[in-house]
Amino acid sequence: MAELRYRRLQTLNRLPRLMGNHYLAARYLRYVRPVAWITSGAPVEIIRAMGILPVYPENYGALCGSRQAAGTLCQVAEARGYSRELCSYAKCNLGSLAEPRQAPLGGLPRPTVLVACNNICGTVTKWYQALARDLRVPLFLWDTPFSPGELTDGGVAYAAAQLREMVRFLERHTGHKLHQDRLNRVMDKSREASRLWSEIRLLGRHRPSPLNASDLFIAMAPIVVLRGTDQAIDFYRELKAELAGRVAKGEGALPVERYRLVWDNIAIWHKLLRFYGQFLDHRACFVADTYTGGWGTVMEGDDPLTALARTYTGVFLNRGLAYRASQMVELVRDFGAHGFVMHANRSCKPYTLFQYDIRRMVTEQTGVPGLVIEADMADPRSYAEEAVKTRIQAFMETLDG
Amino acid sequence: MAVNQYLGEVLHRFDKVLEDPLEFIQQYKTENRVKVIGWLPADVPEELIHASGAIPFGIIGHSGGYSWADAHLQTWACSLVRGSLGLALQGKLAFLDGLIIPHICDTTRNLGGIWKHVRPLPWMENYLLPRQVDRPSARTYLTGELGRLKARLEQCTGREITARKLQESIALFNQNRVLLRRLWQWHVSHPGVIGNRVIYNIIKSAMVIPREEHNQLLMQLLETLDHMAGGEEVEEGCLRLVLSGKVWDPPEIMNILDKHGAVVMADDFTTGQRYLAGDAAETGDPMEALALRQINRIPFACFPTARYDRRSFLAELAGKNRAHGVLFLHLKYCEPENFDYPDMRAAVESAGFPSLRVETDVGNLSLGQLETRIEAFLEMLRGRGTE
Repeated sequence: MAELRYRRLQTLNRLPRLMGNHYLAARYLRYVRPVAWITSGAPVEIIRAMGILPVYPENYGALCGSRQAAGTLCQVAEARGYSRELCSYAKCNLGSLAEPRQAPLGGLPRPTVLVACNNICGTVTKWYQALARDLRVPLFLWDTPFSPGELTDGGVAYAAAQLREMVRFLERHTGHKLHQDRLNRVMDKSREASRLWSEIRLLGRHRPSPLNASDLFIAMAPIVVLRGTDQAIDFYRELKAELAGRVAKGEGALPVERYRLVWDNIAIWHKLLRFYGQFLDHRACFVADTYTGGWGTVMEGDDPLTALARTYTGVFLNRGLAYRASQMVELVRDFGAHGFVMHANRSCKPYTLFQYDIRRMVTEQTGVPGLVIEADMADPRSYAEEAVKTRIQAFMETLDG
Repeated sequence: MAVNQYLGEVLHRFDKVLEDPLEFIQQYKTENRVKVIGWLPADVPEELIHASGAIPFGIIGHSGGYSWADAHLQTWACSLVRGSLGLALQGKLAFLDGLIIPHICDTTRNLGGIWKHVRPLPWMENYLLPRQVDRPSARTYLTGELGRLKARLEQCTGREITARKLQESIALFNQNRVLLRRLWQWHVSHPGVIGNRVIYNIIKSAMVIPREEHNQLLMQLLETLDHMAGGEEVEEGCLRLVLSGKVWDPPEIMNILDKHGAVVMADDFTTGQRYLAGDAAETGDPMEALALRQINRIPFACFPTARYDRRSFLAELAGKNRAHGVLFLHLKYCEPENFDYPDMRAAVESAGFPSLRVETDVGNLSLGQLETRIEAFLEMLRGRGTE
């Protein structure tokens, strides 16, 4: 390996403790408060405002990936009849239920209720149904219709009507009530964290960029898991200040930044630093990505439930090809990228199946080349290291040329 | 026998259409100067298309051209979707005046955008069904979505879909379902006489042949079969199966079952019983009637209820039909089926029904291997049955 090193962001050192406390709290507070397992795109603001502890199986899947436990847990789930083709986050979670001893943290604390929102994928609906059957726990599916073009009033009204159904569901199964003033407070905190997160991501526009996509992937846990809390706001204020300091000093995430790239899809958690390290050798920095932007949308509107419905229904993964391509084009232009790399993620059809066409569209519109590499977000078995390395090498040579 | 000869002729007309459905429908379109609107599985309300004056045409894995899709879809998207896009990419669907793609899974959710981008048709719509069917909000939303689709269809064909016209279309399609169910009943009570392949082909042909004509053919067929019914030769020794999956393709599977003396008593395919079970009300608001029919369809991996009644549905189906076993035909890479499978298997096996799961591909399949596995399963069932 080259002697080049990323500059480590000091604020990120706070994360293990912050996230550790989150998991610890869920483990012990579950004796006094109801626990909800929820998807990354679920309206956590309502859950928090009702005093229910949110736990994120997807975050847990990423954790299993980073801790090199995903392969084993996937195999446990496969031995129980779940196909090799299924989402590795789902299989980490289902596998951890079957074999808690092989699971990081011993698995997640058992839920009182399950809440899945299909704005990110249909996978979560099937995954949570399997959980509901296995655990015999009630499930609420928040159905946010896909938008091939613009959001429709009918779709938003449907999503909002279901939030009222969700509140009744949660009240019935937890005995907790939703208080409007608490919801407003949590939503304000959520907005503040999302705003900070968006500002942090935009700092990547500086040359050199003070951050690399790997930093964003490491730093994103609180915006997903602690959205709506003071801890998330404090963490991102501190992170933003550190990054602003870098910008002021003209200091980049890489010692030398020669190429600026955009990343598409979820990280390859099981190879995170090693994978991005290959680009470090070429002095290439991932100045932006599409995934972490999913939590940067700020809720607008007077009626809280309609604001939530519109925001969550409108997330990029719930949008059509044209929207997704234009999002990528904008990132390439706004961040002055020389190219982009797309992770064809074996676990994630909604994210991946558009990529071949998006790649052509973005190259046509911006003139910069794109690379598609095959891997999986958590399961190392779908990753052919040498093949990926060769493709990266060839791609970087075209940029050099 | 004269009856048998006549039967052969009627059956031949169904079969002929499926030899080349694209050729058939294009010729029909030219001769009758009508618009043809294609649809992909599953659950697209053909009644609405019919009421708009167009002919609904099901694109249901008319095989060939899978590699054409490689530039647009990963190889791990299912063959049903890859095959359909492959047809479009070869220009074989350019005759369509419109296309409706329902959102039933993550692959169909993305397919519309890709299709529209690479092979745009004059008119294309997504049918955005509610993914939950338990709560009151689903029905309100679905009625609205059907209303949106109706307005768009009216723009496509330039004809207003009046309540009366829609009721007439509903009646026509109900009649088709009634006839298909009668035919199914005949098949179940006379196992092995016309065969699984024939019966499933007839169901599939309903998605191709204009419904008025299909109804006529079915009536002729049923009349002929009723003449035969005197014989009532229920074949001894045939194995009774219940099948489960999204689609029953590739059709050769049915030949394998025919060859080895197995008869399909029931299924939950979107191109089988889910297609022909349940009618829409012919009185009252026809849009509400379509919504209600959709919500009350038999269980399906893509829109399950909170009660997960699919497992009990399947186990009961097997029980009611005194099935010897359950055969799961799962499209390879079909995520909803892959998630449901462990639960479904447990449900039927704990009810005492052995099961086999095979992964299918609507084309390009290694049939030899498939036949060996199915044959071994049937032999096992036969061994059990005689114990």
